[in-house]
Amino acid sequence: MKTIEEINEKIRKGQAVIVTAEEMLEVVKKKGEVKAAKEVDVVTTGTFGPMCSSSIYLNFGHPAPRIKIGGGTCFLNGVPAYAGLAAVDVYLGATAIPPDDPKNLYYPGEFSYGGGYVIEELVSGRSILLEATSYGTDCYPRKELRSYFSLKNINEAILFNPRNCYQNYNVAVNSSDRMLYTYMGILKPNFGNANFCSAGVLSPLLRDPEYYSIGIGTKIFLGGGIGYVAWHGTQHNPSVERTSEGVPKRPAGTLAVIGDLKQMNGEFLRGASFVGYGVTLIVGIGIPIPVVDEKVAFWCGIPAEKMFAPVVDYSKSYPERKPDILGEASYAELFSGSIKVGERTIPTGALSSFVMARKIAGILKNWISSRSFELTNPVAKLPGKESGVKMKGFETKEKIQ
Amino acid sequence: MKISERVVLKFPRELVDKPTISNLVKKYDIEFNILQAQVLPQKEGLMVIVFTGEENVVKHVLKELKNQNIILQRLKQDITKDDKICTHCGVCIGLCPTNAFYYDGSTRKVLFDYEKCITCMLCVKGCMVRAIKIKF
Ligand code: SF4
Ligand code: SF4
Repeated sequence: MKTIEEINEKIRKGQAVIVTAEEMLEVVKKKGEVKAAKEVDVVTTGTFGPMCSSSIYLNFGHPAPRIKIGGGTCFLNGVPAYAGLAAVDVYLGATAIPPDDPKNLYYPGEFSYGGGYVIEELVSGRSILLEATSYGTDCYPRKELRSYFSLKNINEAILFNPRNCYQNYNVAVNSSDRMLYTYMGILKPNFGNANFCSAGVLSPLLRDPEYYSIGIGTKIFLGGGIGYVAWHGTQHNPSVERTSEGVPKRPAGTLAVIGDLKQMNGEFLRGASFVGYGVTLIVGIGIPIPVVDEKVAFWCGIPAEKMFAPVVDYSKSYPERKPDILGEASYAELFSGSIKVGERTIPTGALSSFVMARKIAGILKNWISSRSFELTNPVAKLPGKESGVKMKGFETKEKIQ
Repeated sequence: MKISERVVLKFPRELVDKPTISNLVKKYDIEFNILQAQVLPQKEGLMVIVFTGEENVVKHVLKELKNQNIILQRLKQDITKDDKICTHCGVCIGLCPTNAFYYDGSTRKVLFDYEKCITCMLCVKGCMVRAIKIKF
C-alpha cells in the first residue's frame, strides 16, 4: 500500500516511476501485479474522441455602456449561445449550429460549422465575432453589441463538459440496405463497416473500471491544459453487466469535467462534423492513476482480449431504443481491423484516435516526471456498481398525471 | 518514362466474357491492378484499373481498349489527405472499399495509398475533421 501523499513525495524528489497504460500492460504481463504495484507509482491514460456533451461558458467583462445579454440573444461567429444567465455570462455547446444552416434539408447535411468549431477557434487564439441584443434597462442601457474578441481579452472562459470519457461504448453497424449517417459516422449498408469509439487499453475509465482511483476532484489533462473531474457525467451507468475482472461490457461510467480554457490548446479540442448528423467537439483527456496497491495494477494489466464492447444495429435497435445487441467484440478484435459478427467479418473503423490518446498519455507522463503535475485525492467517490445508480429512459406521457 | 494511369472501363455486354485485359497484358509490357470490378456474365461490366508501364505503351493500350468498343474514363479527381488536419482516428479505414487507407504497424498512424483510390468520395464525407480533400 502506498498513499497518494507518498507518491507525490516521490514525484517531488524525482523518484517516482511513471508509465503509460500501454507500458503498464507489459510490466504487469512480465512481472505480475504484485511486483508491478511495488515498482510503478503512476499509470497515465489518454483518450481523444468526439464528445458531444462538451461546452464552454464565458464572461466577456462589461462594455461601456453596459449591456444585459442575459434574457437577450447572443451569437458567436453566427452560432447561437445560451443567454439565460447574468449580464455578460453566456454558454455555448459543441453541437449548436447557425440558425440558417440547412441541416438535413438536403440529406445528408454537411453541418460545416457550429459550436465545436467556435471552441476550437477560440482556444487557438483566433478572433470571434460577438453579436448580442438586449432590451435595455436603467442599469444596462445598451441594446446592441457587435464586437470581435479573442480568448486573451475576455474576463473568463471555462470548458465544462457534462459528459465525457465514456467507459466503453457501442460498436455501430448497419443491417439495413441503405447508407446511414450517424453520430457513430457513416455506416455502410449490409454490415459494410463497424465503427467503435474507445482508446481501449489507454482509456481512463477502462483502466479504473470500478472508480477506485478516479473520483470527484481528480486533477486531469484536459484539452491540453489542466482540468478536474467535477462530477460523474450524465448518463453515468455503473450497474451494467461486467466481466469477472469487473470491466463493464456495455457503455457504463462517464465523467463531467471542468477546466480553464485559457491554458488549453487547439490541438486537443477539435471541432468536427458528422455528415447527416451534426457538429461536435473532439476532446483530449488524460487521467493519471496512482498505483496505490495491487488491485490498481491488476486492473491496469487487463489486456484488450479481455475487454468487450456490444455490437449494436444502428438501423433499428439504436434509434428505437431496443436493448438487443448482435454480439460482443473484444478490443483486441476491434483494433485488429475486423470483427466477426455471426458468420460475417466486418471491417472496423475507429472514431477515437489511438495515436492522439497515446500522445496524451505520454504528455501527462512527462508533466508528472518533470514535477509540474502532482496527483490528487478525490474529494468524493463516483457512484459505483453497488450504488444502484442506473441510466433511465424517458417515458413519454401525453397527459398530466 | 514509367507512368501509372487509373481508368474506369465500361465493357459492352458482348465483351464481358472475353479475356480482354489479360490478352493486352500478354501482348504488351505493362502491369495492371484491378481496384474494383463488377463483371457479371451477359451484363455490362465495370472495372476500375491502374495500368503501369512506359508512357507510350500505356497510351497505346488505352487506345486499343477504345478501339474494342470499351468506354474509357480517366480518374481525374485526386484524393489527398492533409496530415496537418488528420487525427489518425481510422474511420476512413472502415469506409474505403479498396483499402486505400491503412494503419502503419507500430505508430498506428493512418496512411493513404493514392494508387488504390477509385475516388468514390466516401472517405471525404466520412472524415470528421475534413482532412480528406478532392483535387481536380
Ligand atoms: S477519417 Fe480523417 S482524421 Fe480520421 S484517419 Fe481518416 S483522414 Fe485522418
Ligand atoms: S475516395 Fe476515399 S474511400 Fe473512396 S476509394 Fe478513394 S480513398 Fe477509398
